[in-house]
Amino acid sequence: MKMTIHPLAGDLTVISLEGRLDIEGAQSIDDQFTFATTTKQKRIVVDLAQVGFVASIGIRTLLSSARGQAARGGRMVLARPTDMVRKVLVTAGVDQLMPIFETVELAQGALELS
Amino acid sequence: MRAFGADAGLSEDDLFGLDVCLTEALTNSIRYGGLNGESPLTEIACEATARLVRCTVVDAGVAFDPVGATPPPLPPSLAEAGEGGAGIRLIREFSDECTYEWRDGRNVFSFVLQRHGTRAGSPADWIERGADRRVGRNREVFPPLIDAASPVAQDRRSGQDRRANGFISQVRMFRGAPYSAMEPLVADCPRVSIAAGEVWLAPGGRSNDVAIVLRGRLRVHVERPDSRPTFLIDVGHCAGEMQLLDGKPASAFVIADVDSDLLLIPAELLREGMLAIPKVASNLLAILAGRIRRSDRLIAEQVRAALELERLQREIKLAQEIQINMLPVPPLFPGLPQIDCAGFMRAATTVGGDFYDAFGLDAGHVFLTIGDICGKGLPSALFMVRTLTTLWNETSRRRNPQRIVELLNTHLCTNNDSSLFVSLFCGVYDLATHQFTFVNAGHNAPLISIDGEPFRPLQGHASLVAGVSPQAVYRATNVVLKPGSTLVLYTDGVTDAESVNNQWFGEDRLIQTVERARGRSMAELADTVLSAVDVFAQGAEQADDVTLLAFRVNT
Repeated sequence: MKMTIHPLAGDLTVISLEGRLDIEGAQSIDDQFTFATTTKQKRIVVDLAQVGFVASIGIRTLLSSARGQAARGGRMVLARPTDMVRKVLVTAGVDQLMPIFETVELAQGALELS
Repeated sequence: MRAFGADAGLSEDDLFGLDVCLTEALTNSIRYGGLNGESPLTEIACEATARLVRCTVVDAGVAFDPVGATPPPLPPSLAEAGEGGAGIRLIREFSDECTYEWRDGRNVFSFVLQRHGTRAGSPADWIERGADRRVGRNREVFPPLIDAASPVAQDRRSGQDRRANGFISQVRMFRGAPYSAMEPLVADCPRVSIAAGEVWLAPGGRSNDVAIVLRGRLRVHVERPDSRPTFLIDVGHCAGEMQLLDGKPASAFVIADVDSDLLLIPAELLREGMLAIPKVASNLLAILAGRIRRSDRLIAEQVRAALELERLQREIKLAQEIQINMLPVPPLFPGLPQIDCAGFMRAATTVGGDFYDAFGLDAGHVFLTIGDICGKGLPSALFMVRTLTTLWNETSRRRNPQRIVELLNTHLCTNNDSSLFVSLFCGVYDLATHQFTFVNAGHNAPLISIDGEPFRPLQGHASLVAGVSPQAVYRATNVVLKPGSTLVLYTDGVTDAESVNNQWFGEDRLIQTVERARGRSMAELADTVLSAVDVFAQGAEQADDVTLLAFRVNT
């Protein structure tokens, strides 16, 4: 699983994930993802366009980071899941807790307003 | 699984659904089934037909019914989002049907996905596995006649016998061979029933037959009969063919996993009758090739397990280095002649996460602490780093132990996903007034001797360990440590040290030991305790960190 961090203006950051967010994938990024998302107050877009698969363990990683960031006063949102990944996220109720956007730009726009 | 999907010509979406269901089913198996950290998984089977995909996951873990279980409600807010529940929800959403059964001490979980179209280039003439090949193609040759000399033998058999031989199409070794040739060969082979747990073959033993499983299941153990089965032999598969071919005794245990029926093919019949049929010979070669591949895979798994162990050992070593590097460097308080203070920590082979520290807060106050992280390995070492850095941070601004522990607790409770916690004792000693103000957060009571009196446990308010509840209340207790008083802080690694005949060192023995060291320096007291523990343990393995911090106000 690959993870790329693109810091933008201010406290805005886009984190792109690439690969399968299954048991192995979640483990491989867990530490660095948690570190990148919860150590500082930020507004974060997680770009899922290159994520082919998400399992419950991956959902846990996303939720615990979002929770950690919320505790810091920041916010984390998701962008561009594939249709099937979106189905997984909706089934698990993630969309009720973290907004999911069609494009990274829309996600950034929403974060800038928040 | 990808290869299976490609073989079966599944569409991307169907493959995704299968991926989700299988991943979650396996996660459940591993999470709920694992005892002693072992994976309880015994079997995964997938099959695809033109219209559906069916998967079965079997594990020997704790009974867990994902079909009957109610998934927890969707969390109402991020702060309340829990850890689990999504798996069951996902399986239900992505599968079309799922069933659960507790069978022969195993969780048997199956799910079915309806296929939504196939990918281009998939086999159009998909044949259901296990379909009876006799229908149509071989019907005209029944009753079977091998040659003109044997019809009598065939005619002897009743219709019931013929039905009883219907398993032939399911036997891997006979696959593709003419039914008419196989039936007479197996007609007279003996059949035996063996009960679950019965050993059919043991290492060194010989059998004059190859066994084909007609009903039930055999399991093979390479090491011991009570070890985890190396593999299972299901209906249609055979056991014992290796030893018939090379003439050497069996190399593994073959045991009935459940009540089973076996068809026994005598060695001569196999060699002379069956191997003469080209298709059977090539099937047998394929089976043997499969066995070789399987043992290659087992070797690869063992190598991987060894590497994993090595990685864990490296991790433990790293954790120990972190732990040791966090401890203060002796001598402690070299600039304060009115104080004698010494500590030691000896890490167990599998890191227990003990720590201690002693340092001055300002010209008039010193801070003492000792603690024990619950847990082992790298996570608890890192938790110890968090605990100590927070303590250092808070003590740089304040010297009220109650407030220090409250802030430490709040800090440790935040983002504590790993659910670790720490038992800790800390206190501040005022050099001018001799007041010692301490907080005990779930730690064992230190020993105290005031002004030369006998050692006794230091009583005070007992509070909850830190890192568990943000609402925990901590209260401080005061005691006056007049010159000549000694305080011995320690962790349960000292009192719980176990001898070879399973006795504990215990508090009484510790009190006797420190009494014996009365009048010596604190460094000598620490050494006396450590050697008393070693003499007591007589070489029994040290299970937990042994840690002690001794503090005396000189007269």
